[in-house]
Amino acid sequence: MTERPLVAFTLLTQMAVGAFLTLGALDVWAGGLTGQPSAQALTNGALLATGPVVAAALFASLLHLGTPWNAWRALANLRSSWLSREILFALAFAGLGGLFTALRWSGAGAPALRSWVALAAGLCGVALVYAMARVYRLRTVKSWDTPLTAVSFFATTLLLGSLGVGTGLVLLPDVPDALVTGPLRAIALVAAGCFGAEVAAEGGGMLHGIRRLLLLVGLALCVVLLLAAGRATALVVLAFGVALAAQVLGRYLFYVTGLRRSL
Amino acid sequence: MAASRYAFFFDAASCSGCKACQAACKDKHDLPVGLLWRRVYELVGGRWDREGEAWVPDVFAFNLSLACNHCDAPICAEVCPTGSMRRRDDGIVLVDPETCIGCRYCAWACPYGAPQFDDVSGRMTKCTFCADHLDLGLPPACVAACPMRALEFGERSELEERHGPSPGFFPLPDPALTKPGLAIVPHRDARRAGPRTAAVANREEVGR
Repeated sequence: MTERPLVAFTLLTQMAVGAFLTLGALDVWAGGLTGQPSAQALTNGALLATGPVVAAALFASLLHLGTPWNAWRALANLRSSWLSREILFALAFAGLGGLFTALRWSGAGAPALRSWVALAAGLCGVALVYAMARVYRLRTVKSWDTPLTAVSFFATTLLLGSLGVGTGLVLLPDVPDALVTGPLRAIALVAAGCFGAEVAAEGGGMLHGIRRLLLLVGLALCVVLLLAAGRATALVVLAFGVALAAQVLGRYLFYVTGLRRSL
Repeated sequence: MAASRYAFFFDAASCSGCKACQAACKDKHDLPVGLLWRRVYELVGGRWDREGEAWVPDVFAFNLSLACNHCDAPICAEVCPTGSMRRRDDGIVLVDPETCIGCRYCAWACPYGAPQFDDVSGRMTKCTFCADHLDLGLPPACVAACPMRALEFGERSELEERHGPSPGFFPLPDPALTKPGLAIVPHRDARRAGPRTAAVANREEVGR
């Protein structure tokens, strides 16, 4: 399948957007609870980790092109191509997200300015996932041209983003346990909802059956995580792994189904 | 006078499946292995009927010669992120190899399989309607090669007036999607063909 780079590109971008949104929510929550310094300790590590994810996603998108050195031309048809718009929002998200990370790490810029940059980056991220879903809503491809494409893309965004950040939180040693428990509960709740939505939208067939099983396992892990107290490291990492496996398989099936043609 | 807009006409009832059109196109444009700007699809289907104590086959087969239909609403050009895919005033849809980035999005969008990726150049390629021949007053290579006169070309409105608009029989997509420049006389068995009752028999030849 020649679409393998796009499985990576779409999943990594969606994970990065989801992680950025999750970190934003965490910042607001922890900032209100404890004041700025400990809030930053909570999110700095995971924030830095989204950079390489975005870079890897953009690199993967180049691997799909027959003429990668011409890639800059992809912005030329903003008037009618959702692919052009997708690339525009991807670059805007990467640029603003990178700027925010740099400001945060260097401590430069007023807090208000940093918040505005973060808000703009988050909005570009949401616009990016929307544009990405529109790319596939081709009137000539029936299996893609449904609202489920956008539902699945946003569910993937929240699922991989929240569990990715959760994994970062439990693995980073400098985050105090007391600060981790609350966010993990919220993450488990969001992820459980996403697993549930994806199970409901899953189609028939053997590989779809395997994916449905993975999603159900993920859903169960999230329920256990909701009930568990404290820093359930293994549980969070496992749930993230299951989510990743389910979404890689799901995205692969998405391309295979959409690109199966009679002519 | 309105500028002429080109379209193809294909008579499935007359086509013998000799593939002279496909070969002439490949030859004229010197297409490498893997690229077929014009393809002849072999549609086959059938069933067994019981007659008394015997089972007798009831089969059908017909051909469909397809290139780019140079659509009135070319979705390939609509979605192309670089604007490399363009429709000229005379209706011919061409891809500019200078600016194409080979993202294959046009190939996903086209329901006829017309834009095709060239592994060597890393760019999309497609039927040009033999625009160079047209400039010289000559027919496209595929049309000139057809021994059955099953393939013709002409002014879109004239062809549609003569043969009616393109019907959307299997495996053709709904013509409303892209408004193809394609007039067709269906084979008599086209009405028996459907996603469950017919299949493309030469898939290894025509791709996908």
